[in-house]
Amino acid sequence: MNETQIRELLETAGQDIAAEPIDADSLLAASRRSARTRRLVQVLSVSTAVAVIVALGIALIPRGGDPQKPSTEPATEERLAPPGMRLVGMNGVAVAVPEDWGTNQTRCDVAVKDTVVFDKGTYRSCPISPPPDSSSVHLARASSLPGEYWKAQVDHFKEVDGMRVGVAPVRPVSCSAEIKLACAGGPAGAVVVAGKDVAIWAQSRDESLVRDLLASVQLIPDGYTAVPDVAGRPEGKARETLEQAGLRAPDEVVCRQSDGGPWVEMCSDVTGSDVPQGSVVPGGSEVELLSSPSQFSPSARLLSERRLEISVYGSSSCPDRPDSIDSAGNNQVTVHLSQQGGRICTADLGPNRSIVTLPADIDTGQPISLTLVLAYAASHPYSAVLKPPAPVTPPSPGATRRLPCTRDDLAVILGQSGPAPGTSLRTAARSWVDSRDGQRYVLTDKTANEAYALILESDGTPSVIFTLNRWPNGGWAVDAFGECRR
Amino acid sequence: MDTDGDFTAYVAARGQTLVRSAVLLGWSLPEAEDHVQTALMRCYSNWDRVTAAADIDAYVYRVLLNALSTSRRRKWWGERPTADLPETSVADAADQVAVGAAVRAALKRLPEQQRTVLVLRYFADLTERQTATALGIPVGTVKSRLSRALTELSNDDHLADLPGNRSTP
Repeated sequence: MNETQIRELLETAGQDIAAEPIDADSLLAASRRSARTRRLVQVLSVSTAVAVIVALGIALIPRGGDPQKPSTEPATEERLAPPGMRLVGMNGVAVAVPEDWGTNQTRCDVAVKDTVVFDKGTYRSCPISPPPDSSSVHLARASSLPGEYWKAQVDHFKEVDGMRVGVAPVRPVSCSAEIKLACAGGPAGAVVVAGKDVAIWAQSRDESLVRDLLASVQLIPDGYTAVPDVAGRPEGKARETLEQAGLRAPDEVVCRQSDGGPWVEMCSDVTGSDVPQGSVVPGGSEVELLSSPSQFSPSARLLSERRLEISVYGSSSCPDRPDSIDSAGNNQVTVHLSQQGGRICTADLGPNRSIVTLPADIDTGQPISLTLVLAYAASHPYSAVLKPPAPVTPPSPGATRRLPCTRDDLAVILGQSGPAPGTSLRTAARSWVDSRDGQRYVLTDKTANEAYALILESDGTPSVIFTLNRWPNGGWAVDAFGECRR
Repeated sequence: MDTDGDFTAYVAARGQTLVRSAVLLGWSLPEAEDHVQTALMRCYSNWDRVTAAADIDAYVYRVLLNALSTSRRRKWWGERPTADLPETSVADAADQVAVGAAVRAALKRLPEQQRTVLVLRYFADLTERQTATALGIPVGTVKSRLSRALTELSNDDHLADLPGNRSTP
């Protein structure tokens, strides 16, 4: 069923509902009465409260927020910030920033676009000059390095939403070798909420913008929370962090794989969330955890006959090899790998491939949840879902194949008598191509990461095929070896 | 700003669709009318906020969903006296069942979360972002729930047998 069909069905079903037009005038009259009653109740409530407080002789401490906020208001961010702005925050404190500002858009820890920056207080020493027009708002713990810097700049205090706020006046800042934030140039100022362990500073060429941004600092209203930083955490920890912030995550982490053909890249630690860090959202909202494979993440692919091929990057002389493979029901399988080899291991990052046979209870016709546990990073397992390959459509009668020898014709796999996987193409060709006999090799079916090398006899007949992978250094290396069937 | 005029115009333009949406979400017509009126009255009392919101429809639907869920919490829905027999969830002869009843029955078989995004997106015609705003969930979640809902409905035999459903070859 597609969108058009469901729209048509719902439209038909909707027309079938005998809903009368609402009498807008009557509803308006009823709404006015209701609004008057609501205001009267609020006035009476406030009057009663004030009377009680005065009678008890208790000082009334002004509180932030809108006491008249009805509980039925939509829990949307739009009503929290002025139009065109959004709230970002941490530790219960928020600041309103323009809606089109990104989050953590930095290079070498310096804002390169108008952005919100969650500053961890650790900076890379690669000095660059920020674009002269970029503006930024930074949030950090008051007890961190930049927080301490701004605390020292505070020259007076004020009360905001019942909290004591230190104010560092807006003034031009000069670059400092110690504090990266001060190298942004242009006027900057800060507010420090020590009670919440939050420091917020803003910098911009536009001094009035800095003042406006800092003036918008407020407490995050009850019922709302800021999306915490989950990047770099294992799934369990990231989930726990979200829950502590009063948020929840769907059962599965979204692994943003590239479309790499049969090889499926595997994800490990969470790299972020679909709602940017710091966004102020209603408590209990659902936030998706995201992960992305890195250049050196393991990958896996299903082979025929219940076999699974795993590729991990590591030392070529001490490769990671499977120790055990366990199934945990529901088509979930876990492969544990440990490093093999001698005492001396080359410090390269070569692809090491292994083939394992899947346990008997794994259904290869259904998606398989694969978890890979590397011995040196057992607390950061990789995971991916492997889907069964689509059924192969047989070539139509009379169709010609571009190559007389392809992967389908492989007689021998994985170099039982050929070059070892990982051998560079140049080395393999030196051993296997005898130019004196008129042999030569050609590269074919080349994609970004895979290719075939065909060894042709003097009459052009292919005799041997190498499947190749591109290595991180850009060179081609043998992946598998085969002899073409005659 | 003419609050009363804007409110009246909005009610005239959207009132019926709101009621029908509530029915498709599982309420009877009288209940749906009551809840929509309650929601609209609440919106009127904060109409300046409604119009200041980035998206009025998303705001109003959020209020309506709040009203519906509050109503559900207050009442016990296990048994209700009714003059009419409840709709059967199984159609004996699909081609004799009205499309509307079949669709409503199919919607009832969906999990509530999927039903809500489906009605908001494809009946109330909210965008994915508006739907996300109305429900307080990420856009990605709206997409995944829609996808699952469409899959569920595609597998619904009673809908597949409908004469007007072109999903069958």
